[in-house]
Amino acid sequence: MRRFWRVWLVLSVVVVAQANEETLSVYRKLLGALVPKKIVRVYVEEPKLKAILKHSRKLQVVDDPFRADTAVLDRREAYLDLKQRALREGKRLPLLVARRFRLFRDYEEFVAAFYWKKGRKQFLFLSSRLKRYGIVLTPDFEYFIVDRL
Amino acid sequence: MLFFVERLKTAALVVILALFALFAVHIYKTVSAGTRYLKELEAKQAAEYAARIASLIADETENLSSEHLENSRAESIDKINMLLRTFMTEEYRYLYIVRKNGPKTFNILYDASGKSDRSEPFFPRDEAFYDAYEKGEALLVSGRKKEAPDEVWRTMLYPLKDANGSVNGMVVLELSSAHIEKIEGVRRSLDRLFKTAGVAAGIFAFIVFYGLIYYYRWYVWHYIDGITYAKNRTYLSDFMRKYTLKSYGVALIDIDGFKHVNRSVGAEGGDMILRRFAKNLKTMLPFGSEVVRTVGAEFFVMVPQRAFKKRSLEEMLRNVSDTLGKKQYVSPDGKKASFTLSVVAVEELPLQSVSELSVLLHFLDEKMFLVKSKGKNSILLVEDDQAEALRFKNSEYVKTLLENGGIACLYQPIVNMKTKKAVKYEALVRLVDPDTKKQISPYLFMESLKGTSHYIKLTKMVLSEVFLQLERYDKIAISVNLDLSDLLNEELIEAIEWYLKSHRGCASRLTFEIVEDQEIKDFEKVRKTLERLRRYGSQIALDDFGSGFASYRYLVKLDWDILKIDGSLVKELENNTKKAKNVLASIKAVADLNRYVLIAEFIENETFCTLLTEIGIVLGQGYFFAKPDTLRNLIEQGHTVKCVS
Repeated sequence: MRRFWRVWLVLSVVVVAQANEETLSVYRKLLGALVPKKIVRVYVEEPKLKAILKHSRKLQVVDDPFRADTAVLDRREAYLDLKQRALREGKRLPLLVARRFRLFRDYEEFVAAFYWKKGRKQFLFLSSRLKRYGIVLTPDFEYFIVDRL
Repeated sequence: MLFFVERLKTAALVVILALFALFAVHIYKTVSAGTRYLKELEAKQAAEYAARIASLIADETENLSSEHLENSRAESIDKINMLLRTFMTEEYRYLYIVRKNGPKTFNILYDASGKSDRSEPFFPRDEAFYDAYEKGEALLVSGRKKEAPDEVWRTMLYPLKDANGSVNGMVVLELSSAHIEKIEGVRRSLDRLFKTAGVAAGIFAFIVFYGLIYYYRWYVWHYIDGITYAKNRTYLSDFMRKYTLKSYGVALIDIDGFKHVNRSVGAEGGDMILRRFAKNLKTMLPFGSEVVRTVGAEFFVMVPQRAFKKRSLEEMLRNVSDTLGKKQYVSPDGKKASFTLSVVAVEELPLQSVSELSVLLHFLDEKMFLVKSKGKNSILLVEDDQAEALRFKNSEYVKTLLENGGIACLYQPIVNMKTKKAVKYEALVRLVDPDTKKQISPYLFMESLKGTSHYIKLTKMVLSEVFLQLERYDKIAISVNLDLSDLLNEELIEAIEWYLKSHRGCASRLTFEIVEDQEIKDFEKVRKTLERLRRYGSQIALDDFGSGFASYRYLVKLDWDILKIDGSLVKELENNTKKAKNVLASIKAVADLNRYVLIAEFIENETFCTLLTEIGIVLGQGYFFAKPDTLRNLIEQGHTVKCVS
């Protein structure tokens, strides 16, 4: 019986590891496209995502959003807090990536969005915002660039 | 026969396994076909389903007009969402209606999950969406593409056209992988089973293959003669132990004078000739025959008896001798050689034939000696009755005969040639076949019993019978045979002593005829043993005096009561009367001086009687007086023996 549980545990870990590997790969690619640096410093709001991205060699997860090159946010409140703090402390916001469409739609500071819809990976970029930040994306992401919402 | 039965069993097992495998494959294919059918059925139903959805949407949106489809009133959206929700079953993962918005994006207008934001662009990441929308044709798309969702098996795209035929939207019905997994459940299990079985079979096949190679190498090393590539003695020995030669005719073939061949063509040439000979021999024999190189230039062949329906073994071997014996062989360096063959054959080995190779070869060797001594280059077919002797070389069989059939004692009278009266009877033991009741001569079986516990048992049985007769007939004397080697067997001597002790009253009427089967090395021990036998009044006779080791030295070294002159000496009276008479007379003189009773064996006619009595030898034994018979029959003749001419 013990052997069975050991095998099951190992298999579970393998399966979970595979799922995490895909998430890691997506963010590595996205954030790498947004910030052309060898190692991109990233602030992550969501703890689970944070735990996954910590394993990346190309991404450095930081706790201070203002030390990050980019921040991945889920909630409107997180964005508002960040913005207030930026204003208060006179600091510049990092490049923002939204994990929900509405967050991306409602706030101009978000330069990219990534989420899942109908089982499909959805990236979203607005051409005007990319231009504003002077970001030129790789051809892989061109499909997801729209002119307006 | 057993050999082929074993192979048949293996073949039958292989056939059964193959049939089982075929059956398993058939089940697998049936299940796969069934699963495929169910899946196709699902796909077909999806198309009908999407059409029905479209029809209901059409009712709600003024026949799918663009304006009504895009109606952004909340209650309208909710209503249609709810409608879509009613269509959601466990077979479907997603159900929504999209509308194209720009060259690459869609918007989700209605969603069975009720969660969509119409302003949100939807990237389907599948060219099929664009194709179906542009062409206005329903399309069923496989979910096996790179960017396709894992949870979707297939996607049904059903364009919604208005009255003018314009596509204003598209129903997207995505069939669930989980549901299909259930349908595929049995097939996947079978698939896994087959894959596992396949891997196991692959490993097994590898092991078997490797095992076969190993077995082949071992087989060649163990059973194949390195020079001729025929089978070797080990093969034959193992074959005889496992199976039986009962259904084979056998022969021993010896190449005459191969030593000279070797000398003339050299060792390498000789080996080559042997190799070719063995190969040719094999091809000349019927299917199922084996050629075994026993030693040197000697081959043992076994031919299945079923082949004798067409040609007898003798004919086959004659053909071999004529063909291969006349053939001229050329060595690698161009030297020529030819030779003749000497052959001994047995067409049918008897039942319960010997299972030891050495005994069989010894038997055939003895016959080969006869062939060679008659000038070689000939074939000797051993007669059935001679071959019968082989049966008795099987010690286990002989022991069984002794256990089940027992013994019979025949007696031959020792006669006073003057009075023609029997003075003594020599006991001659016979084995009795329990099935046929046939009596078997000790010449055939004694060698198999010698040295075994059954020999002592036989001796006890003989003594029991003899003492029974001595007690039954209180006036007669009987002699029994013992070998010199028996005198050195303490267990046997003790057994004899016990009988003598138990039958003291008749022990003095018993004579032990000592037959020399080997040269005496320890005279002192033999002397002491003879003394022990004499202790109860029995007499000691030296048998076969005048032949073999039974020389005058024995007369000096040991004490005897009786000398029995060997029949070969007596026989010489026929051919060399004068010389033989002189020799026999000298023996008579020695006997007289030492007070030995003298008995002449092999008396076959009246002439012998006359000549011997002239010399003064009065006692004789032989067919002239009586053939071995039961004591009762002989006694009934009243101690008077009819002379048989």
